[in-house]
Amino acid sequence: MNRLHMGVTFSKYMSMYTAAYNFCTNGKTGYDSLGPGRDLYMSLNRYFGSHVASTLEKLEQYEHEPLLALYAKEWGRYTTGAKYVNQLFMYLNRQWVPHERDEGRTEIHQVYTLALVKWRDWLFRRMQGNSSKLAVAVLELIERQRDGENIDQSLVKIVIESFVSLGIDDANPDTECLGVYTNYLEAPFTEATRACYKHKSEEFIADPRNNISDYLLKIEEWLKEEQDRVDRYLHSQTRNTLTRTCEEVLIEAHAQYMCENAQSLLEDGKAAELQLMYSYLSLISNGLELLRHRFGAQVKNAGLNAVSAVLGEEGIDAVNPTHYVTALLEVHRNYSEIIPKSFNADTAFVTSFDKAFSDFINRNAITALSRSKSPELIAKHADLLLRKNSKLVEEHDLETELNRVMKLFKYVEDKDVFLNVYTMKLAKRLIHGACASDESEASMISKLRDVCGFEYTAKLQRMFTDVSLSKDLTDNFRERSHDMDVGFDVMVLGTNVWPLNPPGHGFTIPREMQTTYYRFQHYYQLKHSGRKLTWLWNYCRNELRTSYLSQKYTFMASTYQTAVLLQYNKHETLSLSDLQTATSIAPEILTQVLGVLVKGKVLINDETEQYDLNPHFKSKKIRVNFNQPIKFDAKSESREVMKTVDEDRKYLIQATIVRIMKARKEMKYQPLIQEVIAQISHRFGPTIPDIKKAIETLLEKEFLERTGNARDTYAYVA
Amino acid sequence: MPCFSFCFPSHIKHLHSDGDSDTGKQEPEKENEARALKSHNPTVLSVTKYDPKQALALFMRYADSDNPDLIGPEGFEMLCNDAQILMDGAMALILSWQLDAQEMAKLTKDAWTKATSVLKVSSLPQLNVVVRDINDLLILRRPPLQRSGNKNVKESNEPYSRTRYWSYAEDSKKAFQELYTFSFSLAKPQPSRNIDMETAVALWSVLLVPVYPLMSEVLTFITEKATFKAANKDLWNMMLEFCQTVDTNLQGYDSDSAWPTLLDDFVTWKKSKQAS
Repeated sequence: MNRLHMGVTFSKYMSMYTAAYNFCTNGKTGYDSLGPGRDLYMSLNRYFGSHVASTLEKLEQYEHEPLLALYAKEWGRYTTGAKYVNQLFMYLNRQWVPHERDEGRTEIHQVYTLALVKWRDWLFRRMQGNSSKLAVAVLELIERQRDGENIDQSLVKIVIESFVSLGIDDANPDTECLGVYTNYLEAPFTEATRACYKHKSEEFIADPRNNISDYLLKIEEWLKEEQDRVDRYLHSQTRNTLTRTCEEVLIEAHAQYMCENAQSLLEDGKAAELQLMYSYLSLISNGLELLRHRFGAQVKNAGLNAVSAVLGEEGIDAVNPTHYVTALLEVHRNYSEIIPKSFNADTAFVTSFDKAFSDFINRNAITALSRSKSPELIAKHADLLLRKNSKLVEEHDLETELNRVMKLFKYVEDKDVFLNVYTMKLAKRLIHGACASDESEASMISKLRDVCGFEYTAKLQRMFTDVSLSKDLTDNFRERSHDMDVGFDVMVLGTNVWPLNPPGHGFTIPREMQTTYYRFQHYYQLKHSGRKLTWLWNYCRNELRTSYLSQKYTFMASTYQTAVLLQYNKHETLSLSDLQTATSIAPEILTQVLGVLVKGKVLINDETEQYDLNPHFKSKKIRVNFNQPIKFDAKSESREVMKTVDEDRKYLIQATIVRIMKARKEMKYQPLIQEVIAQISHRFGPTIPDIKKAIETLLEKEFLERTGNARDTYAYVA
Repeated sequence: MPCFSFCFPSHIKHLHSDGDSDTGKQEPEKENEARALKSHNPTVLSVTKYDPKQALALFMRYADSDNPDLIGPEGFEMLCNDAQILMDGAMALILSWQLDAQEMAKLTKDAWTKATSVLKVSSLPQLNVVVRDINDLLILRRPPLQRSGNKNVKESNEPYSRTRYWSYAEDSKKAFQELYTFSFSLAKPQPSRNIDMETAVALWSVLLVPVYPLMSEVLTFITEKATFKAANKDLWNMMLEFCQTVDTNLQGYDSDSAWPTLLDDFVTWKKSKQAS
């Protein structure tokens, strides 16, 4: 076995094989009852033993890399030699060994296996001993490679292969058994790996030059390196354990760190890094939950900040609806895009996003000051978009912009507030003829209907019907009254549909307008007897042609302004109280009406409470518009909206409870509350005290009663 | 701290407010008499036997001059005075309850005849004992009277038929519940579903405050808030339930439970007061 390089000729091989054969078959030489095979086997055993012992002696003087080098060399020679010997004693392998094993002596092996067993028991185990010199040397080399040194990989590969080969299952010598490899190499290797990457990762993170992106890339690098290591010289069994260990040390141990730093990645929109992070965290349990939580918190935070910024600039009463909506959409765009890009379009992330978004859209710095402000601003923005001559948007972009509004609308909890403001604004657009296009109006209504159902938009639809019916009515009336000397347009609007209120004060119709007024009144009563017409003077407007000036102007004025101006057909100067008596307009409104006319220089107010007609009025334009919204109206309008909303809510809650109880007959308090919230939340988020009050009202009205002895159960009273 | 007390409106002097000094002090000698009567041992009273004719005669003595079938508020007050039953406190309520009154301070002849025959009562001192027995049992929560060993022999010695009383004594919770429910319907004006909060507070102060100390805090809360206009039947019923369930430290209260909002608000108020 020591002169392998010389090889064996075929004839020599044959003669040796024959000698072994003869020895085994010639029973005469045997002195042992177990036969000659056993003698031969024992000799071989002794031979391998002595060879291994001498090799061990040599190896024991070395350690570290030189040890590995020598070990590899000796191992190579030993195994090659053993293979030759195995061939020579093939007869023994074929006859005697199987016979012995059949008898149950599993300690008897094929010759080659015997050689390995000898190596394992008399060399390998002793050398490993307590100090596990061999494995230590291997791990040292791997460690050096991990630190970036070039090492002799073939050395490592051979030694590790020997570990694999030495795993021998006595009962089934032909099947692979990795006991030696697993115990002597894989286990310490795993521990070393854990310690190594624990150290490396901690060091890396602690280094201020590195940020989260660097770490994520580093993980990728490390993981790849370890995968390669398996391919290069480890047994493939180790792949899973190794991967698992790396994930534990590199990802799980730093999951908190990663999630905490996800914020900066989110803020900077680093999609690739986030995707890496997502894929890493998906490998560990609860990893994605942590990330999702962070993500939600970040969305909410970004939203709150954006809203505060809008508020900070302008103050609660001056918040620009468009700025608000733009800020919300910006947050929406920034963060919703990340989900398909980086988070694998994970639906759980979508849910987190939606929840966070809805959280801050409904509860933020602005709603803290004014509860209903969020839906109000969104509705006002929609109004600005849909108005004629909107400067916000080109006509062909209008549809896209409306879709964006709808994106936000879906998150709004108080959809009833939105509807109220929207209805109010639509009413204004319709009566002032300020709609940009009927098509867009219809499109917006159908979008709202898609989200909230037919009932939600029924009133809006009716408003359009009223407007088109009014057009026919006007045409019809004009035809019948062709002798009229003034132009006349009228809108007849259903009281229960339109959110418009008649003036709270009287109004004396100017003499000049009375004929038309009575004529129409008469005409309408003929057509629809029994209907009551209420004139909304506060929403009317007129055009007046001047005849007292050298240049003829057309004044566009509100009916109140008209009433004032018409007084000057008979007088040149009038006091405030004269005007008030003549028009019956409430003083606080009248002063505002006059204010506009004075500012427009039609009237002169040199002395207190006295207004003179300006005979020298001049304007660059022939048509002069004095019809500006009166401030006083705008504020009370907003309050009015909230009042109607609150009233509507009360009835909606009560109606819902009755509907539920009618179906269920009897219900406990908690499930009833849950059911009511579930049924109403598509309109607004009812508070529990609100629901309780509604229940109390219904108990009082005897729609409900508490059942006999259960304090918490209600029954429907038929 | 406002002082709550309930008093039937006095019709003799047209006094409505219990804050008026007259109610309590108008007839000090009467009050003394009442006290004296209270300390009396019932057996000392002269026991007159029940006589339907006398019972009717007693009714007629207090009946309205223009309606002989009804004792009106004035007659009611005189009756109470003469029987030494205090108008403020629960005694007048108990009297109304026992005599099946349908309206505040009004007694009908039919109800009177029926009730007096059940109670076997035909004189003022008997009426006084009836009311005091129940007041002791349900309002002052004194231990019930001891029933003498042999019913049949001693029954005739009792000042009136205590059959009702014994059933009250057996289940005083139920009896109190009955009186409590009766008080609401008595105080409630016919077409209305509610009683106004002022009346409710007055009734609670005589019915619940003596028994449940937490109730006086509830009443302080109600008067301090001054936003509650009326008490409906549910609130009325739940108030007793609340007193029976929740102790002075609010143990037993659960905010997820179906308490009326007034009580939820009370608990919040009390907690914030304790916190500050």
